[in-house]
Amino acid sequence: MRLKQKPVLQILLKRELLLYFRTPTLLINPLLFFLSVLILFPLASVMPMHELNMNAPALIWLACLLASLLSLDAIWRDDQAQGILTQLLLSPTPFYYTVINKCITHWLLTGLPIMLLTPVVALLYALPLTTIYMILMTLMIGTPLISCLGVMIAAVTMSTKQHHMMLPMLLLPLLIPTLIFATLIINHAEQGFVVGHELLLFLSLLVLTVTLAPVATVGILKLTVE
Amino acid sequence: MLTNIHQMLALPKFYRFTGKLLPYLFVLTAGLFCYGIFGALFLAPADYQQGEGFRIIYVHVPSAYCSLAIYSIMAVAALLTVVWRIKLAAMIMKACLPIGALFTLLALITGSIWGKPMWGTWWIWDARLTSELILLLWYLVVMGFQQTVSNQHNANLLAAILVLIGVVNLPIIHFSVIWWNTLHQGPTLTRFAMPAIDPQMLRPLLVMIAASSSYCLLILVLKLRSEILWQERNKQWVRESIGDCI
Repeated sequence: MRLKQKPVLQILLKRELLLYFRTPTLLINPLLFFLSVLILFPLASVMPMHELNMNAPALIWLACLLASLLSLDAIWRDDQAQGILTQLLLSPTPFYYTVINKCITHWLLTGLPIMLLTPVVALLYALPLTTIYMILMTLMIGTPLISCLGVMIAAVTMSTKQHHMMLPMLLLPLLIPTLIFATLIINHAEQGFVVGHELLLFLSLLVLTVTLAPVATVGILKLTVE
Repeated sequence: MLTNIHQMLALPKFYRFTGKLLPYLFVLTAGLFCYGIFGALFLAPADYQQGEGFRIIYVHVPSAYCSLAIYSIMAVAALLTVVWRIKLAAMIMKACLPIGALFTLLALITGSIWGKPMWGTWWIWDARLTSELILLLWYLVVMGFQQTVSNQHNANLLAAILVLIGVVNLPIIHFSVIWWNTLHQGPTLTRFAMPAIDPQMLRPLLVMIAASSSYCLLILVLKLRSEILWQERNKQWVRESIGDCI
């Protein structure tokens, strides 16, 4: 009798998600961090409410970038420490699947929850509905981008001594275009411009990154892991 | 043909060749700088709007030019490192990093000094300035990164990959130039692109750019030579050539 084979991607994804769900702190920490940054800022600033409103999109985006960094550091290191990474590299399944799977997991566990939390945060800042909508649109394009680039840079910093320091140092400059695009689009939309073409350009940036970054990650890990 | 290139890339050969090249390069750099600085300070007329203050262009533009040119050279060296694992290419990449960072810093500082009297501010979040700042950041980060990797072979490879990633970032930054300027009017550096620059002003500028490029090459060669000596310090040929010097 032939065994019914499950798709590889599904098996890998299940393993990844199980690992996270068994240590819920890993799941919750980035979200708590995201929330606490956004709660602390109004307490620390002396801005009146309407100015706080104006700064909210930039602030949400910054908090999102920083929160995404938190869960990236462990993404390859744990697998390498347990020898699983070498097994995955040696196995006949294309390593590309593993990389894609890491990107998807990271997005599912940080990008998506942050997007779900954003409307709640928007209430705290009393944002108008159009702004919330635009923030969500830019987050929808931007968070997969962060995940793909993050997985790539995590592969680069894996073999360094001060990886806690190097990961944000390397990743944040790469995310500057994303940040500029996102905040600019929100700003334009708030001023009443039509931003369809700008969103499309931002989307093309995402397509470019999703196409190239995982391939680069495969290359990096194959070159550097013996 | 291929064996010729291979011989050129062999370290002892390269060391000896650059040793012969060095005096000429030194004279060329000194000569270009002498003419360039003289031309910039005395031959070029004062600008009708900015007066004598515009002369900082003769430091600012060459250093900005070099900061980008060195990154391009570094990117080619990085590609050679990743694809063909050429030892010399990794050394070139490593030697380029501090030179490029220095010129980027110089471009930013001179730009700031120029900006204060002309625009009334040291710094503005203009796209050109920001992208130059990102370039500086990337130079420094890659430089710092290289020292944190314990495995030397991996350090070169990963740094090369980072340099190449930085190249992908450059056109994206350039797109943001167009985007940013459409919203943020106000002072921009586009006045450089003014085609009608007086030939009397242009000539010293071109000479200064040539001088800076030749200076970069000089420093690059000097750094490479010392790096080669350090890496090959246990080899016979190094002992022989150093013995000659002593």
